[in-house]
Amino acid sequence: MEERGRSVETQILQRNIARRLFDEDVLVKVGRFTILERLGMGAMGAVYRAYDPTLDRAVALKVLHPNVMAAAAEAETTMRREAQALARLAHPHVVTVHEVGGETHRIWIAMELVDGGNLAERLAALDDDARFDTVVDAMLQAGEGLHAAHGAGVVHRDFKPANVLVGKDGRIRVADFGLASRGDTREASDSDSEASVGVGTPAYMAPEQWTETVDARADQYAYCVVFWEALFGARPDLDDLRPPPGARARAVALVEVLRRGLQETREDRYPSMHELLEAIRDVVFERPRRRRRRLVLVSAIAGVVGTVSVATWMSSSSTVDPCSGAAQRLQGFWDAAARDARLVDLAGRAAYAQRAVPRVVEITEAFTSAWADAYRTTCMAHVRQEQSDHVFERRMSCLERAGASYAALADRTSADDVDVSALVRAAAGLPRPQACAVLEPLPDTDRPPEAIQPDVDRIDTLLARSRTYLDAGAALRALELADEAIASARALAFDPVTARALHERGRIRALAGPLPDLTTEQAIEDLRAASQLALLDQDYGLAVEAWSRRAWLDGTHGGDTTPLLAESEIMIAMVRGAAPSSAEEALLYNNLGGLQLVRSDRARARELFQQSVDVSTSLTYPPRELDNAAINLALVTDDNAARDALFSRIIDQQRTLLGAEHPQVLQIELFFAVTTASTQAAAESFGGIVDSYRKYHPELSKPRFEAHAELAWLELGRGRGDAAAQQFRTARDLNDWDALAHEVAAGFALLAAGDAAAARSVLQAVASATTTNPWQRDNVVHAQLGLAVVDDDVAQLRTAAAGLAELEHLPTAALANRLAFASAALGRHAAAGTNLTAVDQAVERWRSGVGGRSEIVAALRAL
Amino acid sequence: MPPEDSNDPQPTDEQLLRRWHGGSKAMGSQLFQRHFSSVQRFFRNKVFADDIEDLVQQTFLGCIEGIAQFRGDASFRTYLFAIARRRLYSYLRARNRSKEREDADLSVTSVHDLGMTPSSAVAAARETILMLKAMQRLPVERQSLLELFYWEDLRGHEIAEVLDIPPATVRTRLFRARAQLKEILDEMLRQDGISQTVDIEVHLRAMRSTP
Repeated sequence: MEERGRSVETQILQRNIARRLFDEDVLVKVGRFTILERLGMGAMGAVYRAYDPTLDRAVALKVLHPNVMAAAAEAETTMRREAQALARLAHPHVVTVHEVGGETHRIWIAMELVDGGNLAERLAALDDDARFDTVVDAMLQAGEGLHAAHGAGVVHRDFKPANVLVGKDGRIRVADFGLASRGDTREASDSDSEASVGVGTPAYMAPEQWTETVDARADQYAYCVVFWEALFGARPDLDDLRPPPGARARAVALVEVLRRGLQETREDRYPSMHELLEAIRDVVFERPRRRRRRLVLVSAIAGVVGTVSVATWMSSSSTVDPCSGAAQRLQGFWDAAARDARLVDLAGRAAYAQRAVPRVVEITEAFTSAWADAYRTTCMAHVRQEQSDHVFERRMSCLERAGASYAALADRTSADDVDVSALVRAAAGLPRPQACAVLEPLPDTDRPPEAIQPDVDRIDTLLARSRTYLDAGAALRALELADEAIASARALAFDPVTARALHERGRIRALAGPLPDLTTEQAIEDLRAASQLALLDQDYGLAVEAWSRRAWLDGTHGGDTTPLLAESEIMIAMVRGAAPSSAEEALLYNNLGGLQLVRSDRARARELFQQSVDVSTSLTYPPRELDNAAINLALVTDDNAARDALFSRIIDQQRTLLGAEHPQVLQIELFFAVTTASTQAAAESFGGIVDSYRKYHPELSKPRFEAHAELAWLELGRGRGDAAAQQFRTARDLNDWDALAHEVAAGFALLAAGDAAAARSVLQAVASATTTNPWQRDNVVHAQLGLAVVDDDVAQLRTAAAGLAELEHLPTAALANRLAFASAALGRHAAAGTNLTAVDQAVERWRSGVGGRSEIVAALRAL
Repeated sequence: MPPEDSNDPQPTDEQLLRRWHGGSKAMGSQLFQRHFSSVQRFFRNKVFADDIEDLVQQTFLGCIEGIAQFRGDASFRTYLFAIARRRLYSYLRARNRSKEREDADLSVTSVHDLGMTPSSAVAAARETILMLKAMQRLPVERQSLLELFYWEDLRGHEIAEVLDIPPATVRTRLFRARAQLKEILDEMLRQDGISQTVDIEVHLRAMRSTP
């Protein structure tokens, strides 16, 4: 066996004896921590009371047995990852994980030290009368802790009374998450008291935990065993799930709920802790049962839309539960019955709406459920006096703002000119209520004077609504709200909120494009002022965010990028110092990437987009806006395999978020189809895209035109004249805004169908058009190419090919298709004197993913 | 006796012991740091984890109390292990007396028979756990014999002195102890449904470095 140094246990032993015999004090150290005493010992490791000299505080330090770690290397990685996930999760009912560290096989986890006892000890000291209320209160708190951890992607795997800690303040914290190893199925120990080696604690383990990978539902099972044991004093007999004789009526009422959680097959349990906890509350607080309204609604939309009875649940006023107000409050933002009726109505209007509305239902359902959870957590923490009034108010007003956004969504949904795809986007962009429940106190210096706090809240609410209106496609309404916010903020003369309001107006211009009531100059000025005010208030995050948007707007509208790039160094330093790994940092890199593109520095742009994506992926709640960074990165990635992989990941993610038929998803797929080197992948992708557009968004003629036209070129490059002719015809019929493009499509439709004479007369007109507009140059070159082919004119063909080589904005895949077409045409002239084998090889190399743009361009020039 | 030189970089065990006896805690501490691991290892696979601390402490204190019996010609380690062995025996017998009238014969009774569940089996490699468990089923005297020989490198006459047995019998006793350990181990493996032969010598030698 490898020499591993002496264990912490042995060192403590030695220290204790040396202390008594020789009055000597030798410090036992793990990392930088000084071990004080052992608090507990389990199969996976021991927990010590330890002192952290760096932060001058006592912690509970879990030190995992090196041998166990060595035996399960995979478990070690998972354990570290989960501990890090927990370290990011701040929840009142989960023991706080401060830090994870240590070398391979020698992991330590520093956690909050909870002085008090555990549930097992506490229950032993209770008499029957106090039991029920205490158990329910403690278990609901513990359940919230589990639920939050599940939300962070961590399964406990060893939930038992000893892991439910009770602080001196009475607050429950769940401890020892994710520490039971997996994949290590060594014998379980003979007794319950000594935790089994490997899998969990047998008495509380879900049946599947013996054999399968577990998910959150295994915790639900363990939770119900513990709940049962706590209520009735003995663990449930799984063959006979009846309450023991003489049990009290209130406890017996919970049996049905617990029984479902104790189902042997996990699919038969509640879908998640949330539903289980709601069911428990329904019983305990005697709330009327909620019907599965949303399911009814979704199936109504998916099936025949007609008379649907929509049951609405209203919270009953309960004197037992002081924090039951969430449902009522949500009802105030958007009446559930009205919402459902409206959504059912919308779903009946168009093919796309029928696909999209269920997604809106899903998202709003998740939102209201998260909102209610966050509201309850915040409220309960306040009732238990665990947070200051300031923190409580800050979290509640954050929830109010989220609610106001939700109400804005309601308003847009009922508007006559509602755009369903924008509705999906706006729903997906609603603020995350979860983030409100973990807001930390603001430093005193950043707080507005108490007297104006309500006004500040009102302005912030206006801004939250403005954002949702913008997402929902109502930019003008968003602008009105931002104007109102700016006016109020100026009247209040409180600079921090003025900065936020000005920033919002600039942001609207940056995201929505030109608007009649807001010039680009005004927006740039707003953002400049916002950045400056934020700097004065030392709100560096906002300062950087406003600057980033201003730089992008300025740089992409003809502004000089040199001074902007000089300033950007300061911005980068500022954001790394004041708000590292934040949404602001990610936005800064993305927008700077945009500036570099304007300067045609593709390599630097790619680096910046990559940095943006890296920061964005590390965020718990990345704003939807940052999804663009990944798309930008894909668009500037030259390596074919890497770009395809990026697109495929983005498309998967956006489909999950917005639904496969959402126009934004189709747009990204179109980016993929026109850039991928693989003709096979492109053809398949184009097929799906044009179908979805035709079925769900027939009115979106621009992207439809682009898809059909590029598909036509692909077919032409593959030598399939008939298919190409058909696609060109569709493209021609779609385009009614660009006469030259229309004519080019018409001409090529004729050419591909073999009608040379008709093609000539159409293309002739375009080819002789004089234009300096680069986009129109595109049409002219294409027409020249077509004309040369029709006329069998080799010199003309070479001129057109050389012209194509200059069209920098065309993706390489598009050039390759045109090159293949030109090469085939030239091939009919045996005496042309061009090495066509080399040209075809360039095309082949590109299509097999190894060639690059320079080869294709060179081949076009050499034709 | 040679003059004591406090500047000597490597004082002998005997020097340390005598100066500790003379009142120098620093010297006592040095002696303790030197031999702690061996003594701790001697008890670890034989008694309840919670009792190790007391037994180790008593053993070291015993060195001072019994200093009159320390003969300079015997190695300090032999002296130390003899004290540890006597502490162990009286501890195990006291435990047993609370249950049975007669004193346990530790040349035939194992720590397992006495109901001890040492905790050292937690969190080690599977083979090590098995070996440790098998050793707990040997008579205490045989278990100690193997440990002193394989882990502590004591020679035959030293082992005889520690265990208070005739020196000429050590070799045959070692042979029997190994044979019995192999029997026990094979039986445990059979119960686990594993047909596998274990090279006891190799494992015993390897286990001394277990933390």
